[in-house]
Amino acid sequence: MTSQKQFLDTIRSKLEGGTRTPVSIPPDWAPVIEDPLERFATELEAVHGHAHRCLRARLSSTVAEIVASYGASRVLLTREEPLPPDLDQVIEGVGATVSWWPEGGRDPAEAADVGVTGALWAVAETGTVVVTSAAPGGRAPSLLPTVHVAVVAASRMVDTVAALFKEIAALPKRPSNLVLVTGPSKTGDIENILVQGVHGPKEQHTIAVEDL
Amino acid sequence: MTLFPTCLGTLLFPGASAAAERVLEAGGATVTSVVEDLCCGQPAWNSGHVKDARRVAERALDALADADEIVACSGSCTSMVSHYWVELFEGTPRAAEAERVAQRTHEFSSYVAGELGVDGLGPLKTARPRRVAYHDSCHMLRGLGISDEPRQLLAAVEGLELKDLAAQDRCCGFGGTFSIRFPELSAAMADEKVDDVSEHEAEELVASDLGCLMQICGRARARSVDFSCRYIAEVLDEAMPQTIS
Amino acid sequence: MTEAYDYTKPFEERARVSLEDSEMRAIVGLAVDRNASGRTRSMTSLRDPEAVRELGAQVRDFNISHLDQHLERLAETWTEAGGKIFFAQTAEEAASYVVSVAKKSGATEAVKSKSMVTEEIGLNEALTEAGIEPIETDLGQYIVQLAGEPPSHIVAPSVHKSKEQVTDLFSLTGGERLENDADVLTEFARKRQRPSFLSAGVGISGVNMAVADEGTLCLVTNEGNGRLCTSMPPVHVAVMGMERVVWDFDQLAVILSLLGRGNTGQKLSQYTSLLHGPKRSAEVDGPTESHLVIIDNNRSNLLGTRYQSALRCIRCGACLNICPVFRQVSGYAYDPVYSGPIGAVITPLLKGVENAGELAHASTLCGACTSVCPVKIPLHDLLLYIRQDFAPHASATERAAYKAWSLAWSKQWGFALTKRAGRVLGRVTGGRPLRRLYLPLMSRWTKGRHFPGFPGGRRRPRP
Repeated sequence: MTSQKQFLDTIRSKLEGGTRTPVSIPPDWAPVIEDPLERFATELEAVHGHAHRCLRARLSSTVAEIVASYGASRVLLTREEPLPPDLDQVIEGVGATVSWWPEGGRDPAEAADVGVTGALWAVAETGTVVVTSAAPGGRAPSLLPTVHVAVVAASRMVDTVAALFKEIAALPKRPSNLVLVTGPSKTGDIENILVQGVHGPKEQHTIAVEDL
Repeated sequence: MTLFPTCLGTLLFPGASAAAERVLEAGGATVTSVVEDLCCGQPAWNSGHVKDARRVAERALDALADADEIVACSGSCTSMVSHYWVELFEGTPRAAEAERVAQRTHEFSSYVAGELGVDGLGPLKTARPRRVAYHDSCHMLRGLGISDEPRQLLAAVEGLELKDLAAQDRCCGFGGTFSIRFPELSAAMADEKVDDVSEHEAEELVASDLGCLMQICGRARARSVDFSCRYIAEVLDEAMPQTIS
Repeated sequence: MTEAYDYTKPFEERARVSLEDSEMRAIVGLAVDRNASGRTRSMTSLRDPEAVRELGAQVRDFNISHLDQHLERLAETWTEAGGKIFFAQTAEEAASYVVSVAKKSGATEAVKSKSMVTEEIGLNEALTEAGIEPIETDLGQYIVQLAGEPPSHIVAPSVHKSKEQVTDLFSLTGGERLENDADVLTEFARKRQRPSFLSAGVGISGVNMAVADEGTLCLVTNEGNGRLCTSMPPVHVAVMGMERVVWDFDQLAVILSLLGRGNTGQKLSQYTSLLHGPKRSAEVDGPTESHLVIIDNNRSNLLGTRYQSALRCIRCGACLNICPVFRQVSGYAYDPVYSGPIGAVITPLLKGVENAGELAHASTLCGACTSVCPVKIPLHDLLLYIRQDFAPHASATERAAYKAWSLAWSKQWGFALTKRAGRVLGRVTGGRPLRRLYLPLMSRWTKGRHFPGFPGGRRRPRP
């Protein structure tokens, strides 16, 4: 069995005599984004996701409308920001039953037609939302349900992927899993025919919530 | 200047280099010498046989070493001399000479359009109006970065309608000895080119590389697909005002 | 279908198998064209695409030229995050380790997110031998697994398969006739594989890029199977080629911007997952054990050589999608693991030039690969260098032929003799184009092409 030391020594000795080359990433290499909220919606729609915008007061009803549009009967919610604590009541009002993550463990997530989670950031350049495994969130809520609805504060919209990673790098506590979600799951593996909905959620909605 | 017909030009297509010479002279250049019977060494170089390539290229280097300006009738040979000769002769006593020759070697169409200027050729009008397509050979396009100049030259010929191909920058499958190593694969690659030309109803294919023309037209003939192939100098030569001597 | 591809025979024979399959060629051609034009289009959404490619090359050269330092730091930070690390010099060591982790977990099933390096080390065979069933979950990889075939493209493993073939395969697997429709077939895979995701004892993934200073593994997928494999089973094993590492998140952002675009023309793929060790104690779900296996398997052969730049590769597949040879013969003609231009470069370097150097000749050196590589690997130049290293191992006939040719043409009289012979043949044949050339080696020209004719006859040859 090779040890770490032997492994790295092999590399070191082969690199000897060569140059350790430098790198310098200019601060402005990424695209310039006009009107981030607009751009975000365009990008998300282009990858067959659905972009919504609403004021905080209308958040619960916006979620409920999405749930109702699928005729959904089972919904999983997390207690993440910026989801309001009375969201379950509004959703029950359109006829769905609600589970709260993590009560019941993984099963309610797998059974859920719609999973509603928070998100840490959104990225205008690509129509991406970033979900976290950190409590009160988890991995299953954005992954197992058939439809994923991500709610993100509009103030947490960043322009570019490059800008996003600066934010991630600055996180004081790193969760075990951050996922950059860009639209619903897809494949082109059968004759390059685009199919939406593979192993991950079949539909993806993002609601950008604005304060007055 | 010195005209380098290349081995294909010398052995199989003397008409191509003769046309090139006439066009260069009409454009105001003085062709002081035509160095036939030379090979840049590319066939062996591309197959990884470096010593063999150098042996052959050295005789070309001997002939070209004192030339002020060299124009070659081929994108691939130009690329070999101007890009790869430095590597080929690296570490040998001929390295500096090779470097000098490399810097002074130009491809025909880029020289005519760039250095001489297409207007210098006089009014260009063809006696056979036709639809032509231009094939970007790999060495021209990606090796030398030349794609505008040949098109400028063709655009200047009255009576030629220049058609774009769907995949004009895709390799034709010649690849020098590749065409001999893998003839079926090479022919399959040529098929796409042949189909592209005939689908766009071009009556003639023009290129700056004789190898590519041989490959594409050779395949077209085998399939009885009817279009002609011309080296770019021949197109210009035919369209130039003919002086009666 | 892959029994037809014999890797003990020369490339030409495998190419012929592919060339005779016109349906496959059409399917592959369409698929790679779509991806290639997607790439061109999406690159324009970068402010200065060439500058970003240059940046990508710079980042990767920085990583490779500091590889020992990057990997040392990665081991530190991954361990700090609670992960386990294993350095595997050889394919055997790597496969062995993964199998032992899987056995210890008590798993009978291992769900896998596609990983080319696991193909390279023969992991599926090793798991099966140990009584653990590997279940490929990337749709394309699942298709070839059911077909008993290796992947035919480093990014799109089933690019050579028609929809009808997949329908037949899935119908056979499911025991009932499925509709010949891509949506139906995909739904079949989703339903069939779901239980495995939720019950498998171990999940195995590759790593698109490790971030050394952050102890983070970045895994990029479109289907969600990568997330499921790394989140649902209690044990996760990530396997990576040692060169797949960047230093920090700024560098990762550059690479991700190039990867999706080079791949299929997306700015980002659907899921970019950042894994930072096993689940935290305060977290509800995620693996309790997370292993990282770092593999050399002869990659260090490239370090300090003129081939070092090949290690920049981020496995985007852009070179496969643009290659005029790949579109004709597709992956199996090259090698069961890595194909296309990058495959033709690294396979000889990993397996030994004398063993696989012939692959470097499966190219016209057209340079299209170099022109699209997001990290500017000079692929066509590297192919040429491999040909140089392979030349002493070429057939005796080839070496003798080039020697004779060079000795003749290094002399004025030698070339003149060739010219003379051409003129004589021209007079004899009247300068006509020829359907057959009865000359050594040159006779291969007329397999499918006419020869333009020799000068010296009444007609002047035209190409």
